[in-house]
Amino acid sequence: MMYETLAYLSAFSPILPIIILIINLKRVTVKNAVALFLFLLLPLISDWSCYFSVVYFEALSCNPIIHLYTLCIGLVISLLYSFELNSRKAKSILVVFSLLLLITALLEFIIDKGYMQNNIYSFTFLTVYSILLSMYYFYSILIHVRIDNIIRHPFFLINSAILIYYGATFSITIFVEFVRSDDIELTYSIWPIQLITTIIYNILISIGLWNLRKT
Amino acid sequence: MELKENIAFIIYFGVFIISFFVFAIILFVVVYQRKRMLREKEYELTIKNNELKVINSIVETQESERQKIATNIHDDIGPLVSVLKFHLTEHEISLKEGKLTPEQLKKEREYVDTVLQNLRRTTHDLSPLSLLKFGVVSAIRNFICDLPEVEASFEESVDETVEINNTISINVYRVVLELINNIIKHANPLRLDMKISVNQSFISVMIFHDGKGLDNEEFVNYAEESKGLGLNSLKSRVTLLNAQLDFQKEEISKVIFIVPLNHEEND
Repeated sequence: MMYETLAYLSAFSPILPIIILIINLKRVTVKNAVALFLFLLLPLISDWSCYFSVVYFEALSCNPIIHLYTLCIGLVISLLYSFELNSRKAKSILVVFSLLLLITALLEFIIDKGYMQNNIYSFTFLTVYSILLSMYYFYSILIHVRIDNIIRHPFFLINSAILIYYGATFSITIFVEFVRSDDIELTYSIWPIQLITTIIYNILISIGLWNLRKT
Repeated sequence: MELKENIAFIIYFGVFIISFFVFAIILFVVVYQRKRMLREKEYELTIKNNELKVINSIVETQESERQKIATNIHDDIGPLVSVLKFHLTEHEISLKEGKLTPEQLKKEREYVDTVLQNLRRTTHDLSPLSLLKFGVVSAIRNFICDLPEVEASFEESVDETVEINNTISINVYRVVLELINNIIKHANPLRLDMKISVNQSFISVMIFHDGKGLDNEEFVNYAEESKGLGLNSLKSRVTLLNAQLDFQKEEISKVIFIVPLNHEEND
């Protein structure tokens, strides 16, 4: 029962930041709005596509969707950070890492019918990349100290959400894939943590987007 | 039993992971706020220091002006008046003896003219009459046209509807005078041309000369090395006016001085 509630909350939690973004649409630039919509819609589309493909179309696996999702969300995250990190060095890093993600995702998709298997390499790459980006953003704002009220700053909250979500996901992935991969029961039992982090992630993004009204 | 242990482990693991990142973010916020407070204190201190520098510069400039006026009166007017008094005493004796001639009186009148001229120059230094009566452009024109050291020309394009307040006028006048004095003193030009344009948005002063010019970097170095009050006063006035000062070193060197006439900023 508890697990089901968490699963439903997690599945529908991305709707909250989307609604808040629609409410505050006038307060963001067009390019930011497009990037944010993609950033918020991609997980929703990916989850629901997986659900429908398996439940209604009796697909054997939704791994190809997850492959595509990993690549797209990585590129969208790069795009989002490119609006916030203005230095040339940061933009170069974003381009290089996006290309590396693209290559990793394509190779994993193509080689040995990888699209039917878990995309462990590209997903690990995405999580590490997101964590590093998030930490780089923290570093850059700490160097320049330009934000007045950091707790209310929208992108600070979005960045914190990314750090918590991908940090937790990375730890879980490492734990499941490399530490206790033999223990199937434990692997499945750990899933609620992922659901909780997804809910926290969407709540933090919602607060960040809500704060657009105050900045 | 093993399942219970596993679930407990999962809960601890999850709580630890999430708490770790939350704690890291809270720590970041604390460090950030401390750094921001330090920056704000540093910024306030810099502003206070700058204000002090400006005040010091103003006080020093005032003192220098007073010294200059005292020196002018003591060295130029004082001796002349003393000589005049001596001559008058002589004439008094000559008059008693019936030896006073109209030529002697004419000579004394010319002498009084010299005294008056010196007096006018001193009062002009104190507060130029033409600046108050006819405005900054007229005062600068008079100054340029009276320059004895160089061949000078003056060109103006003035929108008569523009009203320039006294503070801006006096500061612009002083900056231009300081610039011209420095050019004549250090650049040794043979010819000096000036163009002034006044419109609703700004006052632009362009000085062209054929002497030894300066570029911006050289001016900054010179200003930093110089302990003279003139340059400090010039820098303070340029800051006060929120103006731009640009030095271009060419065959005919240029000094461009642009003063925005945004009254809110300048007031």
